[in-house]
Amino acid sequence: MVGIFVSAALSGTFASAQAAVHAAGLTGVSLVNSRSASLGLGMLALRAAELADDGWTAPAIARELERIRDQSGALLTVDRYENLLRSGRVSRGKAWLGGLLDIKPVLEVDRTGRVVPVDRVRGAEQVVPRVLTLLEQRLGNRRRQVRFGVAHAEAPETAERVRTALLAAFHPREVLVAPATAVLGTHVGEGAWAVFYQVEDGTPERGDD
Amino acid sequence: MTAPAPGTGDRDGPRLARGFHAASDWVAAGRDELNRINVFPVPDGDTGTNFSLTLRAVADALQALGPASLGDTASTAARAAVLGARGNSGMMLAHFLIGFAEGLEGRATAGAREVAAAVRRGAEALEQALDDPREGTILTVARDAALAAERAADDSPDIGHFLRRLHAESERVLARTPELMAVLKEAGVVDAGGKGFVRMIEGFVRVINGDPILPAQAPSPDEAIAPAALVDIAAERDFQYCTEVLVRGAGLPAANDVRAAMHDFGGSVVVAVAGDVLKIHVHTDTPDAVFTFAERWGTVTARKADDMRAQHRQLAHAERRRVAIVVDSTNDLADAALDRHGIIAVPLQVMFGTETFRDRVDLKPAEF
Repeated sequence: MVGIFVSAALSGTFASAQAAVHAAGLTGVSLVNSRSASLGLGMLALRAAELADDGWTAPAIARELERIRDQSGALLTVDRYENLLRSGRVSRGKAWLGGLLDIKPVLEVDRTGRVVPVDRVRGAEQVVPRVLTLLEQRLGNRRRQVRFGVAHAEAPETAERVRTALLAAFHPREVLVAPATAVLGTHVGEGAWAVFYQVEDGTPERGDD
Repeated sequence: MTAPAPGTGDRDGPRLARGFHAASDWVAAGRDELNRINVFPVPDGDTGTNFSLTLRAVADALQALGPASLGDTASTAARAAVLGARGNSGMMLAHFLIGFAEGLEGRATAGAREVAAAVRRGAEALEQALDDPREGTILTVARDAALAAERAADDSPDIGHFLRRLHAESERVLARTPELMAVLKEAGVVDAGGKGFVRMIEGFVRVINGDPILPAQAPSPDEAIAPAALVDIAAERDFQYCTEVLVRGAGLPAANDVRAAMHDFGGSVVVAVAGDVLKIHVHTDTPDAVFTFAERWGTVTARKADDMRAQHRQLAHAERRRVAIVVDSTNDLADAALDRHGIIAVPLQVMFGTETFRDRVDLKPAEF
């Protein structure tokens, strides 16, 4: 079994799962800290399912997911960041956000799975172009094998616009669009959306042990 | 009292009971094969288990009943089948037995003609009870075999002669089921429920012939919690929960009225009424609403709602995969994507004040 969980930096779920596996003395269970959330772990699960269908073992899948994870990430933006502050899911960005009431922040899920601010733009219409620019910086010019996930909280029109732009700009394997689930919806608030990118380049032939 | 000898005489209560015991054992012995060939309505590999456990419930009830008249034995069997029905094939068997019992009502014994008429009445009751009767299932096997075997009852008063003919005819009809249903033909199998029915008749024949009945396999540990079969007859749409409710009460409504009411809640509706017991099977997205609604008819004594998407997920990839993929419910993949890729999502809890909800189980994204 391979278990894939929401970022350990955001939730205690991964730690709970580790403790449960340890306490029960389970073998054959590989746990992966997605260091992400929402479609970030959803897309890791999709990759895991593909590898499992190809006959990979659980430890090999887990290793490959961690490798993919370390070259992937997410950018997100919130319409009303009070939710983020209140829920305690923004650590270093908290003070920085404080006075910027009319400015839209762009945040990133960093390599450790924390949410940190990376940029800010004036006016909602500037957000999508800026996020695309930031994605280009992160993905580089080289054509990559990449999947995108666009998660949104009550912002389906924006999400669709982002999806169309991603298809044109990056020729990805796929772009998933999904409403954010209850858990994340409570943290980021209405109008928020995120782009998760998963870079799958360099997958070894077969990860058998 | 001494047990009546098997064979040629009229059927009485104890003989019928002995036949059901043999049928139960014989179906149980063939359970794995029935599970294997289960491709319709949903290839979920549990028809053998469901049919076998329904018959076991019948055999157990007859054991508890002890020696009784033929009519009482048959009505006890029907009632036990309704109460113990598992899955679609179990419900179909229950309907058959309701009609069968009606045909023998008030009788102490019966000859070949009466038994043949009761079998035919069972098949008719089954056909009337089905929401969307489909040929190539138990229905076809029971009805066509009953009609063909009635001639045997005209030829000879020997009940063994009739049952052997019924068995032979049911085998013949069963072999025809792939011609009636494309999904069976594609898979190269006969209908699993129909085959269960044939094995049940074969059990009756074997006890009359004095043939050995193989001991039933011990049920596997997970069998007790195995879910009922998934009845998705040309699925009007993709309902999530296979829901069953058992209601007890005096003055229960007619099965047709209950069925009409259940159409507001979902599809694949099967309703059975036997005496003071009403059993409802429906595929729905709102099991709680069904449970509440059913309370108007009497006391709801049992209820269940199996998540069919979860069942289907587990089965779809079980054979190809050695590794299960589990992800927490914050993954935001659509249910269809989870299903397609055989990914198991486990709920994460969300807390609002003092209330705890399971993400995506008690809460849907749309509620935000």
